Amino acid sequence: MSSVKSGPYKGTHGVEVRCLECLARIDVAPNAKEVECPNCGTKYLIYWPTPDIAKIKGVVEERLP
Amino acid sequence: MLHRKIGYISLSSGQVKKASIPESVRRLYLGGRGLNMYLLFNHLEQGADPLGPGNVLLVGAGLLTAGPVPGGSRTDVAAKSPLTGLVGDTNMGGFFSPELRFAGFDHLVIKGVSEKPVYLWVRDGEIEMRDATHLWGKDTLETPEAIRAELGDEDIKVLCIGAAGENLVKFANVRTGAKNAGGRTGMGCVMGSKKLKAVAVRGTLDIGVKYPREALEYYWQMQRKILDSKTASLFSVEGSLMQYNPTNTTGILRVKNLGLNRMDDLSLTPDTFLEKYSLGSTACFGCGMHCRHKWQIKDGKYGGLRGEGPEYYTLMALGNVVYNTSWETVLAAQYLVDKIGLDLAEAGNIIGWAMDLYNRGIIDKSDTDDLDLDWENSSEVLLVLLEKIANREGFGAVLADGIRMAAERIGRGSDYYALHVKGLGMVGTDDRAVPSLALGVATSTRGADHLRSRPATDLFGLPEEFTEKLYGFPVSSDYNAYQTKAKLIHYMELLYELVDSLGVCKYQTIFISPTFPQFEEYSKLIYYLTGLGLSVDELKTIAERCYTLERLFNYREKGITRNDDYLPDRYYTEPTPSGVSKTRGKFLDRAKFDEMLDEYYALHGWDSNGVPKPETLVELRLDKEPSHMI
Amino acid sequence: MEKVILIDPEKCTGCRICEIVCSLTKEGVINPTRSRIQVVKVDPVSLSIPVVCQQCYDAPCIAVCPVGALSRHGTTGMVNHDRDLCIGCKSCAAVCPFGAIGIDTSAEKVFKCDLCGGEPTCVKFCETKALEFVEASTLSLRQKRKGISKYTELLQRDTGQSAA
Repeated sequence: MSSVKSGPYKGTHGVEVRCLECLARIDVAPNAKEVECPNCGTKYLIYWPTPDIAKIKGVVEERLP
Repeated sequence: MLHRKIGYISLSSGQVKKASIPESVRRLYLGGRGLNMYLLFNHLEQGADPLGPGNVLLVGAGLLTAGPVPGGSRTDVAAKSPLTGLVGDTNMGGFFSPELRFAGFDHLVIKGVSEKPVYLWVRDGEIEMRDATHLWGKDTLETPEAIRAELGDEDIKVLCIGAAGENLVKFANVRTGAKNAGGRTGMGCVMGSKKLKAVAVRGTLDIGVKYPREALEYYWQMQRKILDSKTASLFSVEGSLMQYNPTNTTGILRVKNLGLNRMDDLSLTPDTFLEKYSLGSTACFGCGMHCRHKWQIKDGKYGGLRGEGPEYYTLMALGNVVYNTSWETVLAAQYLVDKIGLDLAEAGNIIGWAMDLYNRGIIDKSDTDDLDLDWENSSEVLLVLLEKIANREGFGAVLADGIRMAAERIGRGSDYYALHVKGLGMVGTDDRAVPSLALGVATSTRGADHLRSRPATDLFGLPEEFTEKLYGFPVSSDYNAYQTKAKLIHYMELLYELVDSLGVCKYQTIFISPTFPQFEEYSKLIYYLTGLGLSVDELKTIAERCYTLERLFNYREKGITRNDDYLPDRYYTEPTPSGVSKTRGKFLDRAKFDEMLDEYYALHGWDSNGVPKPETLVELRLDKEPSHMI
Repeated sequence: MEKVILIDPEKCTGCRICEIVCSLTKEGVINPTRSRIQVVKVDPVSLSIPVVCQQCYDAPCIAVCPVGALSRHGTTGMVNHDRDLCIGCKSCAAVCPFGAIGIDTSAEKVFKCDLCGGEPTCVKFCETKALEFVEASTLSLRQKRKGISKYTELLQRDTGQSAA
């Protein structure tokens, strides 16, 4: 909707998310649907609430019954 | 801003009295929640029946509500809670208390009981009691419409109750607008017991600002500080739902009552909502964050339904806790609880508990009016149960008085699974892995509640050098830690007491981002808007006074002490089954929790049993309470 | 350069910050009923529409004013209200098709938007850009671009081609 705010986030050099397992920063490629934490290997599903902000949707691996 | 009046209304006699609020009282209690707590302590006789004429219903605007402040829209409603017997207090956004201020009032003190249903009509300095017999039975969307038509003004704002309040369901809420709700502690039940259907308000009076130019300039700076951030970019799109994915993925959300701590089914995520149901954003009064959603369900079982909302708590209470994985059921259920005026936090908790009992074979269809409460059947039964509760019908009548009483009625060991603190239903998060959250919920003056103190940023892993600058003391960056967290909770309790007394929205404070306003910024805003010069330390003292007064109220009414400041036993014995490594296999360490409690009490100036010390009362000028200043 | 306040109701969230800052700037108090710009909310569809003086070229208020208190300044694009000349007959408020002229019962005059001398406060504080202060000459070009974006989206969707 045109009523929402978007625009580049000041102060970053790219798009990133924080790993919820180890709190390391994970670089996210544009339009990526999945990322892997370079530190602990946890894989996350990614979604884009705005064109330049990525968020974790859930964990891909490591699901316990 | 300081010249709003207080209105005293007796529903028994019909008498209305108006008075000014002296500046001396403002300097002690500010407004909103703080002043409501003072009025509650002073006007309620000890031991009064929450459903009798002796209970006092308080409606309060914040000291800065309606001003040029970020998020200055909040209304505070308080009374003695019929659910817990303790401080009843609830806070909501929207447009009601700004309108109350434009009508010339900041606080309404409503006593007694009316024989017949009535509503209050507050208009530009006048308060009138009007017959509401024709409104009784209308839901919370019909009632404002009917009142506006009757009084001939589309811009009237209405605070009202629905079926739940009329039927004295102990967790009935108060409602304004399309979806704003004052949910917790059963304030709608108090209104129902007084036969007070609604408070209608319309105001066209001026609100003075002490230093308009400086106020506007500083307001501009605050707007930029908040709204130019990444957090605001996200919040203005996802709203409070923004918190769902991080907390669910981390593994600190209750699922199936307390069965799981993460929902692996990802049906209920904000992106699905935004894609399929969202119609954009709307805002509360004076808010540039516009975090509120508008939605529509196009087809299917609930096709054609449209409304505002939902919030994060909606997803927790009507989603995760009851294991409902259907977005449309969440929205339809939210729409329903709004109409019938039922607190979704309490309702979700008690339904989740009932389903837990059913799935464990502790209760069966003979208890549940033949409803199948299997977890997989959640979306089929949720709305049915909500209606039953609001109408005290069948199984709903067992649940309508809250979880403590329901557990007594059902027996069979059901109380082991009943999650509450001091009688108020448990929050939507699973706090077994996060001691700071656990402490806050255990000690909150309302009962199990996160809004007295939630340190959401404790999960961010902020380095100690950073938190030292933020709070004035370092906080451990490890959210599993017990050390330093008592100080954090104490600090946040003071901040939120201040924020609730100013009538400002917590989402524009350090609640969601460490760069957002807190004490220092509010000190300046208060000065520019009202002329009251209150330093950060003075504001903290005021907050301390209000919070200890709440604790004193609870002690006076129900002898609340240390014994009541714990989460249910399961939190200290049962490990969490899933989540990330920091949240998996975790439960609270009772010994360390006790150490936190000791430190927490000391910070508040209470003794080791959690009772305010005499010297603390003197220091905070509470030894004279009740002082009957207003 | 003649500039106008361009309103986009789709972007308005109904926050009323414009009413707060306008009344505070022009009257020194907060009072939405004394704001020159006011937001009308249409329930239950949660639609909010800001209404402010359109600074009409062929202004009915100018035509009806018996004492010439309203006039048009060619270069600023504004319909000017002279408070000293105003006798408070309220004819302009009655005839305005937008209801954009307010009546101040204590001052016994009317009030209307004066574009804050060229830097409208409401525009400054509007966070969603539902209010913008744009040059009249470029306004229609902007609207054209906005209008055809629906077609370019359609094109993109049907042909898979980017419209760039």
